[in-house]
Amino acid sequence: MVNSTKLPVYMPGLDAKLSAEVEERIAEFERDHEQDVIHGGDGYVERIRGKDYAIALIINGVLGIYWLWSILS
Amino acid sequence: MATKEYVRKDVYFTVLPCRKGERIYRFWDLLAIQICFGIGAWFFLIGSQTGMWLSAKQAIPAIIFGNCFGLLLMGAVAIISARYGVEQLLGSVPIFGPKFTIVNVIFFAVTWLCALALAALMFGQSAIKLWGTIFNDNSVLASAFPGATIWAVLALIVGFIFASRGPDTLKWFTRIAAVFMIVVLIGLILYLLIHVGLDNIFKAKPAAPIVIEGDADLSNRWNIASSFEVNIGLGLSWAYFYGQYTRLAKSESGGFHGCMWGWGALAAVAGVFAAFAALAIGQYDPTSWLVVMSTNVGFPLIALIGLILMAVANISSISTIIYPAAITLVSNYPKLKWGLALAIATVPALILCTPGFYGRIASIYAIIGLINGIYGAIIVTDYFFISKGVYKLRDIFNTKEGYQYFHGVNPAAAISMAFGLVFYLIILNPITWTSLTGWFPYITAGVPTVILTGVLYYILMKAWIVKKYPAPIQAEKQE
Repeated sequence: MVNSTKLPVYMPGLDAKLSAEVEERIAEFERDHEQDVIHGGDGYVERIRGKDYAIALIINGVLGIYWLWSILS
Repeated sequence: MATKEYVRKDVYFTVLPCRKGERIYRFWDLLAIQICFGIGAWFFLIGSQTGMWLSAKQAIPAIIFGNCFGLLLMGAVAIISARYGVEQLLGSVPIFGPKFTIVNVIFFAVTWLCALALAALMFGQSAIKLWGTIFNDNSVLASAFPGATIWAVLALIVGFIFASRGPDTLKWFTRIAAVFMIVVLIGLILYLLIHVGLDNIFKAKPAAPIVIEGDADLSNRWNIASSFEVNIGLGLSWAYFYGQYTRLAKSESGGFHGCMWGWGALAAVAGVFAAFAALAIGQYDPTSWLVVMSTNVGFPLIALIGLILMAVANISSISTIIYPAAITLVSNYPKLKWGLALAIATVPALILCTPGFYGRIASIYAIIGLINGIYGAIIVTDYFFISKGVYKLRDIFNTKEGYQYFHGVNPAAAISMAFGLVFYLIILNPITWTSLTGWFPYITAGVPTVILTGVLYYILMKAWIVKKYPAPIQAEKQE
């Protein structure tokens, strides 16, 4: 794929006003957030943490054991 | 100020990436929205179907774990849109390529139209019973046909109006509806347990289990595997619906947990209630239970409250389906006006509003789970193991030159999706509910398909695509 640093906004059907607004927001994201995202930091909003995955895994683990118990007992 | 407000409103109805200050959904808001979205026809009917196949002891964990585990497998899909503020399918462009979006739109359309039709039909079933209970008549509006269909169309119109107002209105509407539904559902479960008796519910035999003549053990396997399959199918079926809401989330964590528990453990209360109802009266349609129960005890208020619950549940689900469908259309086809996108998202569902469609929940959700599952498997694999969730926002918004891969399509994603479809179908035919290879019910179809689709995508990306078509940020680093 090509080096995209200077790619303009191009979406068929996007009107000039909206296109300019999208361009402004992309430039703002590149200026304020892109390097943070690349280095594991926040994007527009606070990044998800490892503990969020851990909570989901633990709860699902408990439910999985409950399901296995119900079919094996 | 007026311009700011205009742009702020534009964000909710157009393709614009959503900034932090414009986001309106905290964890609790997303939880309420997804509870309202989740508690609808699918949970009532799949819960009921599970209660027709399994005893209460096995049905409860099959419903809760099946749904939660499906959502766990898909969970990371929520994060991309929260991070970049873009709509779900637009956020998938770096993974699938811009030309593949049409395939995802078609799969998403199948998902949302089936869901809309089921919710509208269940509203119709509730409304004819409610009408009959209140007015005690047998007019057209209390008839199975065309009465239920007329009410279904009315539900679509009401849902359309709420959805057209956008995410701000949905936030307030769903806050009230979610609390109402959870309270009424818990109340109905308690009423059912007290009236029918905990022992009787747990001793009740499922009314219509799958029976393999002369082989009780195999029959048991089929019932367990089928129940898990439809519940995991429902859990997987949300994959196309995350980003339209999580792009408005105030944190990635709020988006992740709000979807996981709103669609999962909390909405599953509706499934458990429906399974209990099916075990209590041996009927598939949970709206029937409410009428049968109130007739038996001579207490019509129960039927009234329950049927109002069904009405609120399905109208709130319809609204929360139409909004993401419409925002996907305007984000990927920006020429579409908001009103037209809403109409395209809603009107085709009318074709599916037939009584026969209402009784095919297992097949419908196996198919929806399949197409959502293989899509989600690719996104999640890419997120955790390939791109690590780092995409170039600028390239997403250039469909001619950004993320082009091979003529605008990522071959690894296309091949993996095709493989996933075939692999699932050789394990389980969701229409006939038979297994070509005989592997089902010894293994289920959804989970192995999701895992193998992800593994194939990973191998193809690492061995081929990443080397041949380095991602834009990767390419910049190399220069």
